[in-house]
Amino acid sequence: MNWTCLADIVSLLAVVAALPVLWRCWKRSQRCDAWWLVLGLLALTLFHDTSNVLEWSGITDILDNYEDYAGLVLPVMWFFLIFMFLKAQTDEALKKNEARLQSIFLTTPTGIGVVIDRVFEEVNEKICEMTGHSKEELIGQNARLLYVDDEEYERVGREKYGQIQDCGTGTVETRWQCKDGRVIDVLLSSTSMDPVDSSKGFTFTALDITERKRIEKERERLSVAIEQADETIVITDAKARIEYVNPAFERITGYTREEAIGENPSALQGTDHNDSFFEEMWEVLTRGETWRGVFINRKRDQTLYTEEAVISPVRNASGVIVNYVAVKRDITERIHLEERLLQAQKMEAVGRLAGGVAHDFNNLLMGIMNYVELCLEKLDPDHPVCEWLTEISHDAERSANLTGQLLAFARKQTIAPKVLDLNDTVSGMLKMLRHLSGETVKINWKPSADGWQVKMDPSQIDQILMNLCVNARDAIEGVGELTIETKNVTLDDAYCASHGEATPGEYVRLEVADNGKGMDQEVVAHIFEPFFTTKAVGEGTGLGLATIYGIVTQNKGTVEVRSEHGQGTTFTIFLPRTIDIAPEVPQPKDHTACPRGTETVLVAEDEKAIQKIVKAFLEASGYTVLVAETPAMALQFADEHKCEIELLITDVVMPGMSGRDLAEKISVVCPSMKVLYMSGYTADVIADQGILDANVNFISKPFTRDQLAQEVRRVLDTP
Amino acid sequence: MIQENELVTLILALCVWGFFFVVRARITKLDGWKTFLLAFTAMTMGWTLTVLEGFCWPEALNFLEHACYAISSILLALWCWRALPNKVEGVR
Repeated sequence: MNWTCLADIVSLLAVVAALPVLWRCWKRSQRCDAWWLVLGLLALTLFHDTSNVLEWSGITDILDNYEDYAGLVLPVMWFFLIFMFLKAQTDEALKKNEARLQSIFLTTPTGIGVVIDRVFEEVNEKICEMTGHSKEELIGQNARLLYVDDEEYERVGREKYGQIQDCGTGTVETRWQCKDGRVIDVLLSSTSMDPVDSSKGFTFTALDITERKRIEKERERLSVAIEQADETIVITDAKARIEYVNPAFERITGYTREEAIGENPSALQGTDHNDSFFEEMWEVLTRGETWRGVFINRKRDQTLYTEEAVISPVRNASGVIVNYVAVKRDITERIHLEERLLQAQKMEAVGRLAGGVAHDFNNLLMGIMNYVELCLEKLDPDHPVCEWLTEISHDAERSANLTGQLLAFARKQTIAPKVLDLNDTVSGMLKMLRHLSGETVKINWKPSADGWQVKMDPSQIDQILMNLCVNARDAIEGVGELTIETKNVTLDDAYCASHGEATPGEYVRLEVADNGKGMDQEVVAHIFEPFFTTKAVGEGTGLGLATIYGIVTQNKGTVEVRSEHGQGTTFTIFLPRTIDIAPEVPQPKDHTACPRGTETVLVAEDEKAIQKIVKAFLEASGYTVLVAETPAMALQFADEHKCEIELLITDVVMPGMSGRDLAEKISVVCPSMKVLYMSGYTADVIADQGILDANVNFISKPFTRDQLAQEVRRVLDTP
Repeated sequence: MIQENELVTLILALCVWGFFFVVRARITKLDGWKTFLLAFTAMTMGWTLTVLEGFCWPEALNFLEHACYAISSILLALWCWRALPNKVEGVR
């Protein structure tokens, strides 16, 4: 034995060692072409080695002749072996690919199918699930089965196959009708199986986008709502950097979207709030709660505005705050309106109080004034008490003036409006105003060229001008100017929206401006309140401007004031234009003599003092007087005396029955009877907002004996 | 002396190598391809040496030839043990 023989033995043993593997494959029935080839290769190698060993060992060389042929077959065996393995590799890959495609075809959530000439050749389960049709119902059927109508079927075919022709694939949205009648939105994508030969059919995918379309529509609707909302909507990230603002933000703040995005809202809008305000706000927000509050922000042009804000955190699916959304409403105008409403309510309340006080006070004053008058009549003029009674009378008159102003402010003053030209009225007052304002104040009068007419009580114009003139005189320290101007103006919606109580329409503007010391805004805010005065104690009642406010409001006008400290003051009064024609002014009658009469007069008054005074005055003038303390008593008198009663003088407000109701009831018994109402203020019983009806006779308390006698006579003489 | 059958065997082996070269990318994806190719390489070397021993050093080259056969057989047996069960399974 030599080394060569040893190598052959090793070779032989190695081949023998491989045989158990083949045996194992045999046992497992894992036989195939490759297995036989391996077996063949090993057999040849075994034969080759065995031949060599037998030859070297000297046993026999009989196999040597066949060994040469084995040597020739061996490379061929190697070739086939590797060939078979490579083929197996290809087959395996194809099989895997097929299995994979099949798996995708079956399990994909997208409908997949094959059509030839728009006839279904193959469809997956998802298509069946989407449409409700079984595979058997679809395969072999034309795709028209799924379309809602012919038009849609044709459109999809035209568009899709046109796209395939142009770019290889076609995608189109359409609507399919399911077996149960439901209509679903579908996104169809198709491509040709063979780009060269379309007769081989087309594969298609069908995606049910019904839900997606619904969500898209919902989002679109939401988006449009946000875009068109009147409220400002701002979305920030978790670090409060703006990510989105809606057009309302741009409109209200003046900042463009590009300027806002990436900025911090408070830094952008330069709020006037302190740090603790924001600390509290962020404490709430970082806790994940909604914050509600009010910001005072600055617009791009630096004007301040107030906005009511609700800021809510937005969380992601994990619950982490990723955004904040702020919905804000500009409430600047609302706050102004609320302030104005509050002011109006306050004025109304004060007015009601003042009116009530004035009413009762007028009754008392009437008693004082008239009893003093009676006393003075009875006493000798040289009597020392006469002087004191005269003082009482003067004080009572001043008190009556004061209550008159209170009533004017409270809009309870009884007025008799007339159509008048404001220019004429102001011109007629200039002499008196110049006297009132003094020599150091120059009055400039600028009447409008063709002034419109207004309808109001001339005495109220006098009162307005006198009060403003006195105020101007006091405001001008030393030498100054007072300018009175009238102008025809038309107030439009835009003006009225920004000027409180004004309503659109045509007005006559009366402007009274002085160049005095002016007022600061704190004072301006309160000047129309009754008893508010900047004058020293005893120099002003604080009722002048309140009276003007009451008069203007009573006449459905508005009053505005502009003033700055050291810059003078301008009062602008808008009085509504009237198109009524001014009646001919009757010649005033001579009322110097106290008229008398003999008629029977029924007086209904619950105040004992007034009863006595009226009875005394009327009897002194020759009348027969019946005094009723209550309406019931008045009705009883009317029944008893019937046609004897020619005049009823009644208080407007009495317990149990109003003066008007009493008059109506007595008129049934005495149809020719005249009625004269008397009151501290008119109330709405006989007048609308203090403006008397043309056919109502009224005498305002307190009145004097002469005034009562003249009014009674006038009423009795009226046909 | 050169024997004709040995020369034909070598030529056939070289042809197989040509095929291997062509499909080399796919061969590298087979299980145990390195062992398999080494076995065939050793076999080819054996066939080459048996041709060469006709020209020089007949005894030495004959020994190397048989040594190459032994190496080839060992590698082939190794390949059978390591890759054949999987491969046969895959081929089915």
